[in-house]
Amino acid sequence: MRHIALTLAIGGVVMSGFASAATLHVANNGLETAACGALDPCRTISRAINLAMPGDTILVRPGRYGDVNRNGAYDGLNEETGGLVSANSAGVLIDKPLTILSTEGADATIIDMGGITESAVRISADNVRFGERNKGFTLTGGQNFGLAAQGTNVFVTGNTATSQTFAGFYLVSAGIMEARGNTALDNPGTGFLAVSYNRGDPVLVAGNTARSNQLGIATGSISAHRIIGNKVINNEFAMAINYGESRIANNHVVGNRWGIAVNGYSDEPQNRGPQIVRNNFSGNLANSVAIYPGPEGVPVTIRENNFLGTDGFGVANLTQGTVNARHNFWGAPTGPGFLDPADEAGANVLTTPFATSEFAIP
Amino acid sequence: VTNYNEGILMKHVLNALAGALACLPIVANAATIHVANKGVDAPGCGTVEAPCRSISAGIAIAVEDDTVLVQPGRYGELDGDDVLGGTGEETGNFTSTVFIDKRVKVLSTHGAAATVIRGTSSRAMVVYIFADGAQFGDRNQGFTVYGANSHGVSNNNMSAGKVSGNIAHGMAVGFYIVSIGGEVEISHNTAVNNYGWGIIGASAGDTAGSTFIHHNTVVGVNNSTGIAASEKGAHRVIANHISNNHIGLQVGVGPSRVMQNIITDSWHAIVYAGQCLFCTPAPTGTPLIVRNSLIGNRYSALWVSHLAEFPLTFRQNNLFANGNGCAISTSTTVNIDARQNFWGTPSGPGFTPPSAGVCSTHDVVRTTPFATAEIPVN
Repeated sequence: MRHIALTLAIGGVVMSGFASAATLHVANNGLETAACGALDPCRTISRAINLAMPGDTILVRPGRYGDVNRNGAYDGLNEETGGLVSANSAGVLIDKPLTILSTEGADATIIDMGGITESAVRISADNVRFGERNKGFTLTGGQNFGLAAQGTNVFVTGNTATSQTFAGFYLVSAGIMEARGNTALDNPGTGFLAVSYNRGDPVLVAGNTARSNQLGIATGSISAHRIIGNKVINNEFAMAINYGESRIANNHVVGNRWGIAVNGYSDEPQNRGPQIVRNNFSGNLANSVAIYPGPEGVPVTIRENNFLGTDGFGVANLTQGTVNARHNFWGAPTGPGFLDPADEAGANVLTTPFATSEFAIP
Repeated sequence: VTNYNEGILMKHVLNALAGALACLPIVANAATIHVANKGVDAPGCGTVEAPCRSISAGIAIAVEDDTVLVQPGRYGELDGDDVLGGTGEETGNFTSTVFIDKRVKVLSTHGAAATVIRGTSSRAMVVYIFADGAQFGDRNQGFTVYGANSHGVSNNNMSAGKVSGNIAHGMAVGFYIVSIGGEVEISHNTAVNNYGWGIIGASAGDTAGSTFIHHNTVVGVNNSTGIAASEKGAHRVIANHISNNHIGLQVGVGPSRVMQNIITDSWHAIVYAGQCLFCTPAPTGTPLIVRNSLIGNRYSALWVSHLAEFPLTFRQNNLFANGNGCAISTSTTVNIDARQNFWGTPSGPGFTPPSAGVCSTHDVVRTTPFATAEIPVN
């Protein structure tokens, strides 16, 4: 009850700030001179953001936004104007605490900046919700990023980012940052890049799909990022996890050329290494998990995973020491081995005791 | 009283048993064959305890009406050499990586985002279905297919069946599904970055076979066509989302119904050639295109060829923010019934943004009465 009362009190404080929350409307048949009403929608999301007050909701109807005339320049009528944050340009700049949703979802609502700006969308404020399940956006045409976000209480949901050279979703947490139910597809860079500058500011990447990217998901070394329940499929590299306290659990890592690489790089001294627990590694071409040398005395935890049909090693140890990979299922009740259906473990990988049956991964 | 109630109860039980027995000849032998990345293609495989490694082995064991249930992982070409024949790799047939030649269901346990079939560049299709009534995938139980030199999923000899819940990526055609008479369902699939067509629903040969294309997502590339519904058949193209193609949707002459689709960010949203060079006899009925949102496309919402010979009904659609202001662009001489559309403003068609207009060299497009508010399409 004490917790509930406290929560209600905090909620009251937050709500009092947004007491007159309104809904603004944006549509492809809107006008930039409009007031963003339901019957006189604006044409650009940027105008709605300019008119909005903190706590407002912006509803975006289907169609194309951004570089509307597709000439790769800021010159057309009805194009997003965005703005700059520390010299980083964005087609849509969300610099207020707002909720921005599409009415018909990412498949029908496209923000394409045509290479004009560094990111298609940038979030520079706290307390922002961008998209929801079936109410997100397709983001493309940023020079580097589909979406770049930095702040706390930032929730990015239901969006698709594609064809971005650096990252589909670049998520920098300053407290609470969550990406759920998004898709990163065909990015020549990274699908989801989760970092923070302070311990205690993790990014939650949950229930997303990273498909056919150069690198599916990457985490920085600072903070315990949580990579949970994602489907990471058909990427050149499934995940790159820097040494740190990140937790990688309940993911399906399937059909990638390389699986998870735990890199030796660390931004600062670490007490604990990444935990790779209860994931399903199926049909990856090279090693499902590869451990590179990291900070001395900081072990990686690899437990209760399924290693199935890996063409290379289930776990490859590229360090000078040993890697603890006990209690995993290696595809056969007999443990790791060279005969199908068992997956192999590399040299200096401790595998016993091993699981004799497959772990259920939701 | 007790005996009476027991008698009623027994009667119900007997009726239920009789009903169940009546059904037995159809389903009694239906079995589930299991396939997993931890499996081995060995005699007796296919059980939960000893799954097969390849879908092909599962299909070989199955009999009609069985289900081949596939766990997450990679299937098809496994070792990266782009050639089939290795341990655990699919066998398919000369033109496909997975060949479904029986009336079976092939489903995944965890959906397309966790279950991949990798084709090879030496075979035309990833999956080829040659069995009437077969099913490949279902909503949340499909596959990701890629890597063939032409098609993701294709079929023949089907008048019924279903292709559902799959993702086809980066080939010439994502899904090429033909019907020889009845209706084949193509639903809840995603076709992404296929450079020819995302989905083709076609009537085979001289038949009026039809497809039911619904709730699919098609994202194209430069010169691609999102969805094509062929001439002759009464295809139903409903509630699809189509974007980033040259042609969002191409519909042939015939009684097809195109409804509740959202088409955006393509060059032309819908193209109608209106001509059927190989239709003997001529198709019965003409396309009905209603309640679609065709917005934010680069050139026009509807483009009709000057060679069109058959008219078109095009009503209750939302038409605005299409590149050059021409919601309808044509030089045809056939009639286009374009009444009750919403042209972006309550004042009807025009060329002052956000209105969209008609660009036609002949007075064949009827636009009044027009809608004065956006039309809900869902």
